[in-house]
Amino acid sequence: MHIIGIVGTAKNTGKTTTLAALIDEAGRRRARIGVTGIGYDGEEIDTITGLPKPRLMLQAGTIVATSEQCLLATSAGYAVIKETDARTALGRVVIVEILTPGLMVLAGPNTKRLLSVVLDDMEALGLGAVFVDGSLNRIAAMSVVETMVFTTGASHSTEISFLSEEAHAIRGMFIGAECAGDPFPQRITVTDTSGVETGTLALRSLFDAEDTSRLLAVLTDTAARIDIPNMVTLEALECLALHAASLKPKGRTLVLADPTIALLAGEPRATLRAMRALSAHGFTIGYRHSITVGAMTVNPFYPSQRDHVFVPAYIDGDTLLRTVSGAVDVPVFNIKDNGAAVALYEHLMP
Amino acid sequence: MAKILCVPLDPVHDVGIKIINAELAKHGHQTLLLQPDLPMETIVKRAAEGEYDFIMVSRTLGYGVAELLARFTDLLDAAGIRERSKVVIGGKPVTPELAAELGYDKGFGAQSTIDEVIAYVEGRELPKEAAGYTRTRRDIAGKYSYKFFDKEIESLLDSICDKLLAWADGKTSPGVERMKLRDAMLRETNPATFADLRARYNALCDRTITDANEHKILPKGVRVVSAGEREALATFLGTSTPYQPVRIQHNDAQPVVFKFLGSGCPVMDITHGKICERWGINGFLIINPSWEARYEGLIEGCLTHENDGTITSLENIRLMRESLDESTLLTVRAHRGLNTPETVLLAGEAGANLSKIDLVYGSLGAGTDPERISVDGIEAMRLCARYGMAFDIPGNDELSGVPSWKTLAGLLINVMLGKKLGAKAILKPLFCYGPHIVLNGQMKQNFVDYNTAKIYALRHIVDCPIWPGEPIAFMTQSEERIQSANTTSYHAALAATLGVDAITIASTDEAYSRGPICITSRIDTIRAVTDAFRFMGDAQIAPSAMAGVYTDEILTKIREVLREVEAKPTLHDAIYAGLLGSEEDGAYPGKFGSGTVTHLKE
Amino acid sequence: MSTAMNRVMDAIDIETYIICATAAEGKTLALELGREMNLGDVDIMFEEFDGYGMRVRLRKYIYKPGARYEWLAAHVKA
Repeated sequence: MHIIGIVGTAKNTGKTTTLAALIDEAGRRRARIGVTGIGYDGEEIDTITGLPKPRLMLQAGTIVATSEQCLLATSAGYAVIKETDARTALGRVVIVEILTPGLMVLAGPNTKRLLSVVLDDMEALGLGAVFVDGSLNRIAAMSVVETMVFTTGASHSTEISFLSEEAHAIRGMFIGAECAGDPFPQRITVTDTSGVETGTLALRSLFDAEDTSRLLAVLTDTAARIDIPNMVTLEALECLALHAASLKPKGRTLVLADPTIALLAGEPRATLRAMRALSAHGFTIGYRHSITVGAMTVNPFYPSQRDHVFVPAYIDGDTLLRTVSGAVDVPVFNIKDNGAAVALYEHLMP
Repeated sequence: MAKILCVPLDPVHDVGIKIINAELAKHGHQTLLLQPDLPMETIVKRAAEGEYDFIMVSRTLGYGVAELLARFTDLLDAAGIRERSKVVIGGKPVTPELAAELGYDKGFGAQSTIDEVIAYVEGRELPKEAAGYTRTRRDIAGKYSYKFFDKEIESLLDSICDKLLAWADGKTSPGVERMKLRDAMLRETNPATFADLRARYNALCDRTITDANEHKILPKGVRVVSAGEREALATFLGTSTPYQPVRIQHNDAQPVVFKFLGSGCPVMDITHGKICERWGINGFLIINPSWEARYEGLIEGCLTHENDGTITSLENIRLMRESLDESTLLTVRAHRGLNTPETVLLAGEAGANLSKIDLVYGSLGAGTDPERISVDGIEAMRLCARYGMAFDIPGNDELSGVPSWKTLAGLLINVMLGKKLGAKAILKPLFCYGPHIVLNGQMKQNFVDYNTAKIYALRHIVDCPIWPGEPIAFMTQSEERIQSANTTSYHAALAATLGVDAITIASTDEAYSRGPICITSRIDTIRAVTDAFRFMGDAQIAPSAMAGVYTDEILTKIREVLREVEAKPTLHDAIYAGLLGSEEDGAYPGKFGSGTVTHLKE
Repeated sequence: MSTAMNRVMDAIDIETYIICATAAEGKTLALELGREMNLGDVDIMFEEFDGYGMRVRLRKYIYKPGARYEWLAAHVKA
């Protein structure tokens, strides 16, 4: 089962529009798909800006995982397949099959563990693909998906140069060697070329600059691979990069859990800079679980605040699309352009 | 016991999280309140160190803050903390939907209570009454003995009422007869007998009423509420629910709060009523059109009317009773005009809780012939006893300039009469800046003393429920919205401090006479009173020494009035003599139905 | 047709302060304001001239009792 997450850099960057386009396209092709989300999306009016939002129209046969309370308001006909153990602020997450088309709001599992459990349940139904809708800029729960579609746009910043630099940085963070490892690591480990442990550190909630100093203390010359299974801060990466220059020999691999860890570390451009500095000093970045960036979408819309109310506003869409396309090596779409939805769908699901 | 980390994500301490932290600690939970404005990474580390069951975050929202809050849950998830800790967000605009969007396990917003937070932490389902609040219907008259403490007044009232009952014995009126026919019609199943009853009923009605009931020629501005409209109303009410219903009272001792309904249209009345219920109103008085008072007979059917006053029909009262909450008290005004007994009958049949009867005011203020209202009123009180409905006695004669003691003496006559007929009366002294008070300066210093004195005087006389009206703050209100809401709330605060049983409140457009009451104006005063009750709690407003002076004066003068009334052969003789309100006071005995009282045929 | 205006339950009140030289001018302006706001003739519920201008409360009834309320019409079953 292909798991595709739609992730935004901020609110109103076009996650729901992108998801809606993919669902429409799947419906047109009669593909049997599943849909869930890690937040709350598909409502008529934005909970924060009060502006109208795109809504999710689901076709018969689609499998959906959403919260009980969202089912109270749906216009779709559905049958409950399974009540999961996952709970959100809107009640228990339920897996349903759409029987008659209608509008539905998605509020699925809100953590990576719960999402993983719910996706397993959906996989058991023999679906070809599941789309996971993101929420705001949230990324942590998405660490279980295989492919991500990033959405960015004027709502995040009206500076196109910033958006393209950030897109470049985000894309860059996903480039890393796939490094198999213990699926449930309990410690930070340092191993030599033959895989023998040469040092370990206790696992704490965050790997920060202080932990970097502890790591450097156990980093012998034979150390070839460092596995940090937990959350890493930007300061920790910067500190390691700073000391990497004086470390010998070169040719070590720093293995992180997955690219979402890098994304969460701090400001993406700063994180990529730290990662590049590590590479320059002989560190290869690797991930225990790789995620592909399937595509990016851009959205020129932003809510502009005038006289204390939000009104719709736009930056130049063509320039935005061109500039971001030039900054990344994956296809970029403005989902509202003619043919964009078809092209995105075909690109993601050849 | 739960272990809880309280996190103020705001640059400064938010009072809300401090209170929650303190309350959780009070309930035996182990809490830690972090300092405000810590870097997120530091908070995550602290959260990881403590192995908390709950992480409670507070933050005021603005554009861009959502992403910040989302990043916080992300960091907790990535750091593995969400495996053991539930993450909760609190803040004014927080809704369950927003909490879900931000990825939190639970959200508490402006309407949430501390009890809800504690129940959530303790994994309890909050009982329904605690989550919102369960409306309960208060029995206003239930706890009173109707024992008279003032023996002189008691014996005067005894004599006045005995003479009145003796006079009325063997007398009837078209109003009483119609009530009996209606009573029979309501129970008659044989069509032929029903038609006969109906013909006899019609024979006792004015032309306008028979035209409407027999020929469907309705008075100008009156039309039938269609089945479609009733169905639409039912659908509307069935699909709307009161969102986090409010309670006006801050404690159970504070008075229940009534409003008038009588826009002319039962659909509008009910919609207003449902909204007012949400805002905590405990009861309504249904006010009928003034023209109804002049006609013998009542129009049947579910009817709407373009002008003030909602038509008294079984269908209209029933629709209101069925649409309003069970706990909401419903009073149907009966004492105005020529249909007093039948109105009480319909109210009782439709399940109303109270009626409104005043033999004195019905004549002096509402235009009915004193003899006729005596006969009709006595029958109406008997019906109240039959249906177990209490009746309230409005002292609104004061508004025309009658001195308070004359009005209060009139109220007391009704109390005693009710007692003799087995019906429970509710005293309704006015909380008003009445013309007699203006002229005599009793409220020159303040509005507290004289209103207080009326209550003190009545309490000295009899153990009977008191419900200042009608509405409170009458003649202190202007068309200005804030002023109007303020005076209502001050008078409500006084009512609360005096421990009365109920109050009737106006709306902030009550003084505006050129159009119907609108819903926002209704909510204005309800909110004002809710705040006043919260402000007062169980504290007291201290009247000045003048309250005692006025109390003595009122008591002395009530005795004088009752002695004079007792000296007359009957109550209506006293009314004609101006003893309970004279022409100089601005009160005139009514003329509707004069000469219609007859002797019952043997 | 369902409009925001016909979802108003009963009336619209406008409370504002109008700069004017006299009470009479204030009243004229208040009525004019109602027309400029496409409310037609509004009623002046309350006015209070203070020398600088006039504080007013204006009202326009959208539905009077007994009218056919559009906010209810939406609930009529087809």
